Amino acid sequence: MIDRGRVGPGLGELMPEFSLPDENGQLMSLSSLLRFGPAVISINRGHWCPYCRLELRSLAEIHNEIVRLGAGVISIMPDSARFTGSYVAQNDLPFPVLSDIDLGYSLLLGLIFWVGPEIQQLYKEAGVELEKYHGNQGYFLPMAAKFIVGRDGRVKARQVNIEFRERMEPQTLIATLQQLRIG
Amino acid sequence: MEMHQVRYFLAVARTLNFTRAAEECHVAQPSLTRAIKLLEGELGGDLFRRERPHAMLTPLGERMFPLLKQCYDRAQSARALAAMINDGEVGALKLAVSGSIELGLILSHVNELRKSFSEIELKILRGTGPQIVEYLKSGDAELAVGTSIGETWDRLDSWKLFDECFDIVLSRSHRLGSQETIDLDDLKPERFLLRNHCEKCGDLAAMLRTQGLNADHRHEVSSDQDLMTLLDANIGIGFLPRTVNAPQSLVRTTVKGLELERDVCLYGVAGRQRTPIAATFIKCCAPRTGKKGPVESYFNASVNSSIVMRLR
Repeated sequence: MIDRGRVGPGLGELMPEFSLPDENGQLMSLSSLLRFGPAVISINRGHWCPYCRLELRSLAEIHNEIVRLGAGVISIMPDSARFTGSYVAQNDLPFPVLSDIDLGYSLLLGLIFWVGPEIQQLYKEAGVELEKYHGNQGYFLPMAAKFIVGRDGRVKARQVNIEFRERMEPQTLIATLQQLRIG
Repeated sequence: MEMHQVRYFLAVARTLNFTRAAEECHVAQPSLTRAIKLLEGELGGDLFRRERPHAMLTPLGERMFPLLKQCYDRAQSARALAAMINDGEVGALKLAVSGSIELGLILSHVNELRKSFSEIELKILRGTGPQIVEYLKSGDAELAVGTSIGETWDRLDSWKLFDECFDIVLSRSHRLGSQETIDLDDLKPERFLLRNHCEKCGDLAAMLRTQGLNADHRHEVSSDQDLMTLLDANIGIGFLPRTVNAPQSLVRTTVKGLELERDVCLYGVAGRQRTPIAATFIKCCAPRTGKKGPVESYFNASVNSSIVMRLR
């Protein structure tokens, strides 16, 4: 079982519950997702992050296989529904993107960090307006991560991307879901 | 950055005293101090200036305080919500229902609610349109079911439950009671029964006047029970929303030129944080267009598209 990065819920631990709005403003909870099957939960930095977009596109590509294995996918990011809505459409994402308003859930997971003044300046210069996307002035961001949560609510596999370019490879993800199916 | 670090920071910022903050958070002071140091490392600066026994917020601390508090409060309420949903421990659903609405109409939604919470508590208040707006304003009710009450106060969110038309209702022994169809001329000499508790009463009177019928010399009742009693005694001709039941002894029909409709909606005060039970009830009352909840929609769509993929 994959277990990279020492922050966030550990293997075998219960994944904290959430109830967050999707791009249409409708609430989705972890427990309602798990009623259908295991869930792949992708914690993403924002619609502006090129690495997250690559991640989510690659999840979209293997989405059919994930569903065939009886599981579902959701992405959680700090951006409000204003931004996730067009993001889902533009990138043709077949799964919901939930808004982690005020990064409460990211804090609960222990995955939050503060974008210091130097990086804030760089973002602003690059046209990344975190204040606007988040609806607050905190300049907090989550560490990108993936959790595979079983129907029992426990973490079966996880990767927290301390180095933000790393990610859980699709093959690894599928292999974990296959094992869950058998087990 | 971890939740307990933020909690300790907020406690020191509030008490301005490391010892008292540690007591409040039920931890040893060295643990609290260490956690704050880690947080300071992450934020790249001191959050407090220590002047024993007190602590003062540095400019960085002052700047970060509201930001961290907002984030922490959000995480706390998420945690509380989860606990409430999982323990099935929820407060009561305080619902104000207009006198013109039969409770049976929302029973299916209430049953839907029972799927999400093992134990539910209902507090039902009754009143006219204006009265239920007052219940919402005062907080005696969190949600309301009625019609057209959004027109009296603009700070309401509304979700449409259904729309319906009004029927004409009269006694079988009325001179028009056994007539095949009734038209406007037949009604000219008649007196009507208006329901004061109905939000559409004004619109109804206006419609009667427009059609040259007797709107001003009329009977008035304040409950449907009284309406039925009077109609049974062949006093007047009344109007009833289609979903409101009437005894078989009464005739229900429609008259061309006297068409009235109402939208029955669920209302809540805009901008107020909803309790989990109210938020879930709102979801249960989503328009009955066969629309599924977001999770069901997602899974149905995924399964369908994967079937299509396999067939190709």
